[in-house]
Amino acid sequence: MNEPTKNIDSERDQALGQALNELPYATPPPALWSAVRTELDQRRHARRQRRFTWASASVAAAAVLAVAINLMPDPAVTPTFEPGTATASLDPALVQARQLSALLEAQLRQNTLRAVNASSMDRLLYLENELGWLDTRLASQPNDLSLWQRRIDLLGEMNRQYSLGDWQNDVRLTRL
Amino acid sequence: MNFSTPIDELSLAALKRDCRRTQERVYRSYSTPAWNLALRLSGCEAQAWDAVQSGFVRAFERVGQLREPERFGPWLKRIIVNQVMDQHRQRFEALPEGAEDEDFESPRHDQRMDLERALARLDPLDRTVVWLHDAEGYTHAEIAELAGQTPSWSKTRLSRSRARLRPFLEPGLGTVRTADGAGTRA
Repeated sequence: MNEPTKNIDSERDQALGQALNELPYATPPPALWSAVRTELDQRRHARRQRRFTWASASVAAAAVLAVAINLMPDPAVTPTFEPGTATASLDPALVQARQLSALLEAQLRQNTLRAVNASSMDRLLYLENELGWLDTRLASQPNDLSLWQRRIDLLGEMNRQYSLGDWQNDVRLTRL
Repeated sequence: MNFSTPIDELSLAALKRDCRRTQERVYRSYSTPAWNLALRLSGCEAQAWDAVQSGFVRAFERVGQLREPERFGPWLKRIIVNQVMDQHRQRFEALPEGAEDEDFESPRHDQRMDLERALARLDPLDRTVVWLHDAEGYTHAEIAELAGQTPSWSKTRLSRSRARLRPFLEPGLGTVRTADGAGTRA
């Protein structure tokens, strides 16, 4: 493109820009603001709905979590084996006896928080002495099934004595 | 009022609080430049309506990002331009380039040249490029960024659009080409 043509085109481009800027202004449709406002309202409503849904979901999740935590077995009640007792290659009856013993012992730890009546207290002191003596024997004879069964009986009896001190249990007994 | 007119601090704070009354006042202030920009770029009232509506909604919802009240106008303008460019992208995704080109009538020199009508009949992307470059002062780099294209794409579009619009300028601004290619004022 030669120089005069370039200059003329440049002038015409400037004139085009000027002409475009001088085009008359149009007025926006009057209903346009209503459309903008309606969309803003709808979106605000949707946001609130979403927020409400999230809040509800959070509350529901928290409630479920709380219930789940309450339903979870207390670590104190979880059956555990006594330390230092290997379960491998043991008699299944012995393993089962140990598990049951651990379960009853955990239950007993919970029960010791309860109030007991005087007669139960005497009985419990006796049973605790028995248990102490039995545990001494078990320390030297950990695989003796009869000792474990004796321990289960003792623990069961102690739990029963604690349950006798339960006022709800007393009420139930008076109704009988 | 145009896009360079600022809003005050209080209005910006009220917009951030989602105050409808302030939104309406701000809308009334900027609706004319916004409408005209969208109309020029899209060439169609229905699309301009969509672009302006979406543009204001987006601006009011995202105004929290804005710190300087004096930037509101240019920021809104950018949003409107983006809305129209999005429309173009959606519209042309399924169409090959140039598929919407209309046959351009040669201007009839015995009647007043209708630049506005000529502009409206341009390919939407050509129209957008020529308007943004020649009327709004955007650079090729800025247009290319908005369109997701290269500056040379913008230059090509601009050249084509100008070539189509030149004959529709007022006769006094046009030139008559001589046989050797040189131009003289008509």
